Amino acid sequence: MTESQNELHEFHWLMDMLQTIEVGLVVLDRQFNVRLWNGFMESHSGFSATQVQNRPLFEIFPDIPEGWIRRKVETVLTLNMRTFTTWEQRPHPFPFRNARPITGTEAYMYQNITFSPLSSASGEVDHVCLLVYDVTDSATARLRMERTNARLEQQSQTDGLTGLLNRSAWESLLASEFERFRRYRSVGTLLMFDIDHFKPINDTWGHQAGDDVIRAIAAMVMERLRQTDIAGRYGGEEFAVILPETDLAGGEILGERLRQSISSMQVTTEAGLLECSVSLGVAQVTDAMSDHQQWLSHADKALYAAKANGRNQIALAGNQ
Amino acid sequence: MPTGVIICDDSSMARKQMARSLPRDWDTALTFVENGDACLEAIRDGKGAVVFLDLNMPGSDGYAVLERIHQEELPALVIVVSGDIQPGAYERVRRLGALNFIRKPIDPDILADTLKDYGLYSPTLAPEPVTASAPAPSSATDVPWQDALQEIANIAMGQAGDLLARLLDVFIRLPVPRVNMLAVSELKMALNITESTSSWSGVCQGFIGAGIAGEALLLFNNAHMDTMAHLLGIPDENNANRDLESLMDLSSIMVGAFLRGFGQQMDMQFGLSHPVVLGTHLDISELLESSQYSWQQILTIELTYAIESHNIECDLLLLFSEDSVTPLRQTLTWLSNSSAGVTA
Repeated sequence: MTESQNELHEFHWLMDMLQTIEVGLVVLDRQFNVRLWNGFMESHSGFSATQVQNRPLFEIFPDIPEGWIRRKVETVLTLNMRTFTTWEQRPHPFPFRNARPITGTEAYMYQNITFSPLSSASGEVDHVCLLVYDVTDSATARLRMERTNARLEQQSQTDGLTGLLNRSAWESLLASEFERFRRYRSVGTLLMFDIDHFKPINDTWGHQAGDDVIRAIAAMVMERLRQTDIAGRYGGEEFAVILPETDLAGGEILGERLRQSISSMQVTTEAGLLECSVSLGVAQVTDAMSDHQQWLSHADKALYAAKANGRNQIALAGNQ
Repeated sequence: MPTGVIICDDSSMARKQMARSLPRDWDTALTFVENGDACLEAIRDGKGAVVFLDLNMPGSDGYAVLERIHQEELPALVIVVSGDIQPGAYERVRRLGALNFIRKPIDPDILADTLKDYGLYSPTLAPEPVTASAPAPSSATDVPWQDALQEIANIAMGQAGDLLARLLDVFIRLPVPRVNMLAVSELKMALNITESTSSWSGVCQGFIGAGIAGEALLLFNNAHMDTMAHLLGIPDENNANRDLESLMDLSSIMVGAFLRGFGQQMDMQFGLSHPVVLGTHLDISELLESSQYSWQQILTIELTYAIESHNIECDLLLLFSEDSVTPLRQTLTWLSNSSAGVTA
């Protein structure tokens, strides 16, 4: 084989590899007309090289982010410098479907793109090459991890049995509500309640039935509360609710309504239908309190008074 | 009578290259100084009618020297020699009274032409070579490789800074790059980010070539993200991604331009991996947390670019793997000893 033959072969091999490589190769001129379109681009777009040859990219893909691509290409041509984009910026610049249409979890192909300047024989930069990488697998793995982390974060804040906030998550929100009061003089009221004679329920009907009662009361709290109210499971059979923008009288109305709903409800458990009641304490935040703990203890004292007064009733802080 | 010439540069490699680039048949008495104060001292002592002055030096920098020369009306013709090639730098030094501005790496022909233009030198076939008339001090002949690395980084930083300055139409302040061998724990401290309340975003990009491999890390304070997006001309429509767009654009330009200039001077070309976003709104201490190199010494070059008019700073860090140090040192030693000096 002569040297020139060998060079010809090499050129042919190179062309063959570029045509079949699993990376999209596109060459655009200054008017954004397609000048080169390799096999990857043909397969994923459904347009053959002859169909797109010398046509403006934005005519072939009307939905492609035109302004964004124009800006990248201009920068590359002006600075004679490569520029990189990741799927985090634009997940699917080219509207390509997932390369694994059956087992893939995402509908579209995530893409990283490198924009590279190309010079003519005279050394003038007049074309831009786009390298389009399919990064669907790493992008989906990353997104899945982020979703998992978000769920774990949420799980660490909620109480497993009731789905309400757990004590520490709820208490940190109480602290910020107190901070809001101190800064902006916002009105706020705290509602604390616990289940009357819960220990006998547990002892007589079993823990399973006890859990059913707790779950049913939590569900009732969620149903009766407004969007902005923040409910948490404070202890075993103890619950607490922050009522923002609500004064003591408003808190009393809400608490009383909740008490009535709970005392008239029947809980379906393995041991049969059970009835229960709650005692409630209400406290509005005031200047006399130095921190959220004091707010909490005012509500707790009111709750104790309601218990001492015969249970299944509501008591207001300052009135006991 | 020989012409008194002062070469002022904090880098011994740069001083050496400057001396080599002077016309061989120019009869000079050379004085080498490492900082601005020593430079002024030498001028006052009458050691130099011609001063070759670097701009970016620790302590009194080139601008400060020019100001003092002007204030004290010292008899010196100053030619600024700098890697900072922004249009703004050129204007500033001309305003401060510098005769001319020569960019690093120095082209001996351009230097000779400049000297001829100002009538400081006329070519003769005088037999006296420059080294015979004024032997350079030993510090200028024996260049430690870290110094050579710093000087090459300085020039590459200037090229990247120039590109950014032109793109954003601002003046960019370029402090001297710092070259260090650091453990990861020290690296965190060296990041020099003391405000624990501010959050940073980063982009990381790998580079490799000729046995040298490493990562470029661009760090940007989120507090300045809006201003940067505005300067880069990123449209407002897409707010969620605006920060990311700025960061990626900035890193493409800075890392790309720096490594191109860096590689060119060492006659090598680096392959660049696709950049990875390190998570915006990230605590800086988390950045190197999961690195597998926690026990290693890392060769680092730290560069800080500051946009004066907008009070923005951005850090570019070049981290080289331990394996890269030997080939890098060999290349640099060869470069600083070769008579040709660095190529443009």
